[in-house]
Amino acid sequence: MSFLSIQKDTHRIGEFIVAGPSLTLQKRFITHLCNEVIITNNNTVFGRSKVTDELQLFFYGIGEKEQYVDFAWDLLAPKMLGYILVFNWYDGNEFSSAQQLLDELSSQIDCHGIVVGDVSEMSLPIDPKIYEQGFSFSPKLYFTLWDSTIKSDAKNVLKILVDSLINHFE
Amino acid sequence: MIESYSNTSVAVHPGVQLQFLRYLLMGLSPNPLIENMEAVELAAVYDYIWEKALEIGIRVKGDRFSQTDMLKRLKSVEQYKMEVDCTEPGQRCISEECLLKEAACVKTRLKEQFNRLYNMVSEYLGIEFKA
Repeated sequence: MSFLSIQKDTHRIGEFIVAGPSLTLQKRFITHLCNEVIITNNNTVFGRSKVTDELQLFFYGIGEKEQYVDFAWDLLAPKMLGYILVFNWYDGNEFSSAQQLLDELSSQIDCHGIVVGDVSEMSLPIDPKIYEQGFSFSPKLYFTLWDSTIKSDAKNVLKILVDSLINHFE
Repeated sequence: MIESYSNTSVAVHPGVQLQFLRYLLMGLSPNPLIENMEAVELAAVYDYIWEKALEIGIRVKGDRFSQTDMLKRLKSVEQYKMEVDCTEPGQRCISEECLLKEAACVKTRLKEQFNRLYNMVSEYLGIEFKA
């Protein structure tokens, strides 16, 4: 019985970084997944989602300003479960930024991640069943599309990322 | 980079994979991306895109999907060799042994195969292919 009570008091946290060229998209993604969202004066976003009394997921949207972004990566990357890189699928500049960030991250961090193109700006003439399972770049790195106005799409993104984590259980 | 290919395969940056995938899902010809790439890197990207094209084919067509049908839509090695008057054994072309010595030829062949593949995937997706 005492063993159970010790377990109950132990809070466990899984942390994810949400990055990308647009703070608005980071915020939208986190808002869809979390019941508690805080926007700091450094233009970063923090979200907390309670899975059970003992398990919580933290999401850190690390903003756009480089000085904060570098600091946030240094602080959070060593302990994160994975990262979510969001960008506007139709915006060429955002795509280039996301592409550059992706290459930097994959060369510096051996971590699970998912790249997510937001297609809410314009309807995509493709059946969602084609991309909702995601496409792999490598065993730890995935890509999918999402409509940032639909809450369940954010959950699907997280599901792909968590699935890739589970596939690496030893 | 080319020298190292004889011992190991080239690792393609995920940013490059993402870019080719974006063109694929938007029904765009990958020609602008291909122009600035070395044949050795292009061969590695082609393998990646071939894999994704198979995945898309399976997701769209399910049990009706046939890899053989996909292969039929690509240009055969024999046909390509005939067009460029190549007298080398066909197996060299299939296994891309010419990658180092005849990089331009490999690149030309891959460029055409890329476009055929992208066109095919556009049909699967039900979108217009913009050559």
